[in-house]
Amino acid sequence: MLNRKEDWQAAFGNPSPAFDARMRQTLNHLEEEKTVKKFSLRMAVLVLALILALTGAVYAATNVWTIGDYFNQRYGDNVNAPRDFDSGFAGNFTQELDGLTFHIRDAYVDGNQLSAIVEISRADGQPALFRGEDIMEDDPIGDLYLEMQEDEAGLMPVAEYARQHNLPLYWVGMGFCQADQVLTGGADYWMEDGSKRLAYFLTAEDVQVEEGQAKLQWRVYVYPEDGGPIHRQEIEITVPVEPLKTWSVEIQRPVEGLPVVLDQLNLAEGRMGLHLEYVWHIDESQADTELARAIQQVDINLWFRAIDPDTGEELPGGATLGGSYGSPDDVHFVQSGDSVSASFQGDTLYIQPYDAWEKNTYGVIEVKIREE
Amino acid sequence: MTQEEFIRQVEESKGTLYRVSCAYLRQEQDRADAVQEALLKAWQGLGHLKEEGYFRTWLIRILIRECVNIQRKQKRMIPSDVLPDRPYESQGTNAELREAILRLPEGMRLAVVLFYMEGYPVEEIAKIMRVPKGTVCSRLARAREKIKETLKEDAIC
Repeated sequence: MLNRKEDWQAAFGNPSPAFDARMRQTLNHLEEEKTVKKFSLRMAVLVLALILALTGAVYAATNVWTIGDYFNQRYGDNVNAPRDFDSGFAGNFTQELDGLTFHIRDAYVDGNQLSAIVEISRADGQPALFRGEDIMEDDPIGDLYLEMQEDEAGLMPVAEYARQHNLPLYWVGMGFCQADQVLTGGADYWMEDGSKRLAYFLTAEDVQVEEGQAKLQWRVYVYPEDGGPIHRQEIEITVPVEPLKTWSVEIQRPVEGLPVVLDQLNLAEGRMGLHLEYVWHIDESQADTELARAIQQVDINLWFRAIDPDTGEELPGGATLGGSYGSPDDVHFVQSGDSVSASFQGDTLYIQPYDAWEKNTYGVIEVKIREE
Repeated sequence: MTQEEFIRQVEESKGTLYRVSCAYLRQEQDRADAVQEALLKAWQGLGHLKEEGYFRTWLIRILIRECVNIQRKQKRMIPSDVLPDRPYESQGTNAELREAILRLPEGMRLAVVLFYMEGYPVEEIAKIMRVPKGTVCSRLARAREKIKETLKEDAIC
């Protein structure tokens, strides 16, 4: 019988020592992470914008976002999608559901990774506020109007903003499927042109490609506000595919200052940039040392990045959907998701290991990534 | 709230943070990432918390957001058969129950964690999940049925 909290809690057990260590480390470094926001002239302008917005004017945002904009402005400080990026997408796919129009503005498949922008608007052209699947009614409106994210105006709940501006609020979602399986991916949202359109940026992984094209089912949803059954429909679409060039470089070089060996660099190059995956391990002959334990317990938060050898600065990042860090066992690690802008055309990368906690850096490793 | 008070409250919430992250993320590393990010954001955004009594609810919501962000941005780096999911199993872990819970849809899973494991009242869960109270109740009822089916025994009161 599952009567007690403890019986239920046994499903997940206790946090692992590594989880504990990371939490303790985070709490130990709180002070240096604290940033104090100062009231600046820019803030004053933004507060004025809030007052104007609350007195009846709908927040006016006139940007029309592209796939490149999402990568350049939404995915980290150092991401740099090609400015003149053109996906080559020429499809014309539109669906209507519950009085809403869903239209694919742009779509692009890089290797097996899909990026798409879908415009959502009312079919009658009237203003409305749209929230994507994971935006809740009391989430900050700044999640939908990017310019409002950094000021107090951006903290107003979505539902309150809709009420004050007399805007109907729609809850929408979508996904891409192949063989009736929804592809893993993510979504991001941005209200455009005042309250006319939601730009819905959607990504999907592991897209299967045939003859230079990805055939997908594009599924759209509307969630009724009364909690009734979700309304859903789908159509077939085809998106051209940009092939990725992939290769690996064996390195097997020790990191100066740490009991670590950088084994291999896996690379994938497309028009969005050069994607990097670092494979490394703790030198087993030094596995009992204090430094090795510090790495395993994340007291040293070891990452790798590509730098400019002249300035020591990190190279501009390429468009990427983010990465992850994995360890198949206690001594082997794989860091993925790092990337270098497509503007980088060199044949040598300078890889710098660094401790993300202390900002310490270790010996740079020079890696030739292209043959003459 | 002072730094000492913040740390004290976080440490008291450690188990809750861990179990909420388990409801969303299967990899231990991802769970640690999510909790780390949530703690940093909570610390940096402490000034936005008007009522300290809501600290835990507020922190859980930040964590949920971080878990969803990790799900959204996660990129499969190597095939899953090369890097298997390795849930950390401490002594006394009920693996069958864990699997039954992990088979639930996400919304039900979180409701189960917050109600049965953490003892939150339905009203509080509704605030955390931003759904009506009735939705929490129906999710809990459906979750119970599904767990019963999975465990194939009348194990749940």
